[in-house]
Amino acid sequence: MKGRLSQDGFRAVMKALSCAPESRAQLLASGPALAAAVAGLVSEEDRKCLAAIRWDQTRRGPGLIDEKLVLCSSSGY
Amino acid sequence: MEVLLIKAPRGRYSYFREGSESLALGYLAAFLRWHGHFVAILDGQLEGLSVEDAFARCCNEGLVLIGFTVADPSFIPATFRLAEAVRATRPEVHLTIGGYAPTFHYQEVLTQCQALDSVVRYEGEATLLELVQCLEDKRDWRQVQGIAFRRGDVVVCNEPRPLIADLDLLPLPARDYVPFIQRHLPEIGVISLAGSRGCYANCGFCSIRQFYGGPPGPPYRLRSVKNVVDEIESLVRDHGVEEFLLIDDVFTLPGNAGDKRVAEWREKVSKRGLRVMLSISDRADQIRRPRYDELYRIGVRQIMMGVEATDPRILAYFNKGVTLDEIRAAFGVLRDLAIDVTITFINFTPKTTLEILEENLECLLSLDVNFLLGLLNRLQVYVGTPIADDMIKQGLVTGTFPDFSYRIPDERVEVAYEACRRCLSPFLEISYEIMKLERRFRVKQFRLEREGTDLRALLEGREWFKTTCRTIMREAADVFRGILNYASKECSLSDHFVEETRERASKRYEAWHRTLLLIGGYAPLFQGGDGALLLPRQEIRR
Repeated sequence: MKGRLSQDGFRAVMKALSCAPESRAQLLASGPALAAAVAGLVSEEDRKCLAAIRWDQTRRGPGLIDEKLVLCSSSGY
Repeated sequence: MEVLLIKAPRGRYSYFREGSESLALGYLAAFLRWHGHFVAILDGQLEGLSVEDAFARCCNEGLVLIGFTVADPSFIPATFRLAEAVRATRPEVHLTIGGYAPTFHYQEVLTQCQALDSVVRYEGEATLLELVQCLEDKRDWRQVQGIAFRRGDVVVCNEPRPLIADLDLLPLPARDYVPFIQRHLPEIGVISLAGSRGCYANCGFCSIRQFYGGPPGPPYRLRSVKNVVDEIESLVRDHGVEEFLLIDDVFTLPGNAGDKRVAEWREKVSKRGLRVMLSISDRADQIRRPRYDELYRIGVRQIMMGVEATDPRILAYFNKGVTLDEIRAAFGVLRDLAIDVTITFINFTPKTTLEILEENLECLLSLDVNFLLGLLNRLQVYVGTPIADDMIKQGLVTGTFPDFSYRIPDERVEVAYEACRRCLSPFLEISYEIMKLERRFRVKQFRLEREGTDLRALLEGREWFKTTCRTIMREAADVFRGILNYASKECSLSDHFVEETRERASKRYEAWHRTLLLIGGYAPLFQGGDGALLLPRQEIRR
């Protein structure tokens, strides 16, 4: 992911996301949705930055948890 | 003599990429090299190899011995497959194996994997050296103290070799993989050290005490602080490492001995001008001030705390020797010092009831920590531990090595656990992402502090990250409560409930994941502040 928001823009986005889970899911559905939600609260540059976000396909492992692998991994990182 | 030491890849999907090299192989390699042998190390798990890839790297013509290390039982199946593949093509090479599981289960290991010639039990350096020297001199290696082997159909176990009395006399571990970690694993890679072997505590689920208590010798040995700091300094000098993970299960000692050792750390680190970050493990009852003020000053920025339980009945079952009050007090100290906390927690045990699960959840929420791994963690049967041995005596354990299992007597808990297994894998994914981002903050803050740069943007970003983590924990708790509520009423899982819960967890995950991506990818915190004002160091809470 590229781009940086201004400090004010970042703050506005975080505040907007401090909402109920269902509303948050709608805001995060796409970059343009998020940009539209904070349009009046951020600079035009920040708005364009958000509108350009394209969420990648999220990585997902197998559906079943292997009980032997929950903690027995690396370094705690 | 040419030797290859291998950590086989686990060969199964893991939610967590390996980030650190095997110190076991590092110590063994260094010891053999010190005695003139040519040793290569292959860490298949760290490199993300398949078993087939690892096998392709075992074909050096000059090899006389291949030694496998097994970090935990989940590595056994792939290690056996690799050993069998090597044996089929290289019948002349001696194949040996070591580590906790092979030490305690040498009978099963040598019976199940006929490709293996021997097991090196307990501490491996001197035993492996003698084995290698026997092979080199073409002497009978079956006399080597500390090994087990087959004689026909019978498994023979020689006397355990006494532990090495003075760990300072060992050569520093080989660091063949440090450049690999630095180049290929920048997000998750970490350089580890061991300041001691063994542990002074006696937790019932843990096999450390049995491992180091088996052979003659003191079960808990410390390296001198000078020896450990020498190693840190060499890694800083030779590789530019600035962040270290101390893998000692307990970093500090109780009482005056502990204070003295911490003071020695402070003296040595500051005298040499070392500005490094340390991650350590410790017990809750040792986390107090002013000791931890000193540890902060030497660079400790993260603790792995073995909480394991919060219910007094389970704490007693585990023989932890700590109370919930001590755990809470420890969290208070670490919060005041702004030291990150990672916990281990065992939510599902033979003694767990649904009521205990409910109480655990509320307690974990109150600790304000990432509890997602612990929420899903189930006590594993490690034969040799007091708890496992007790479970076996009671006839609770089924299965065979390495796949032991048991039923939890409260059937509602088993229903809840099965629901977690089938529905909550997104919790593991997000936990991993939280840990990675937390580390980025920690490293960035450390570097900015070292430079004396304005921290305001970073601290604000970090607060938003913590707020996001709290939201994630609350929402995860809601999903988990849904599972507990279901388990309190139903005696088996319905497909409908599984589908609904899995969907709920996945949707939550999407939003959490994207929020963390925003923080990690778009926040200005990594630009460093506006340069106008420097945040005085004393404003960082002590």
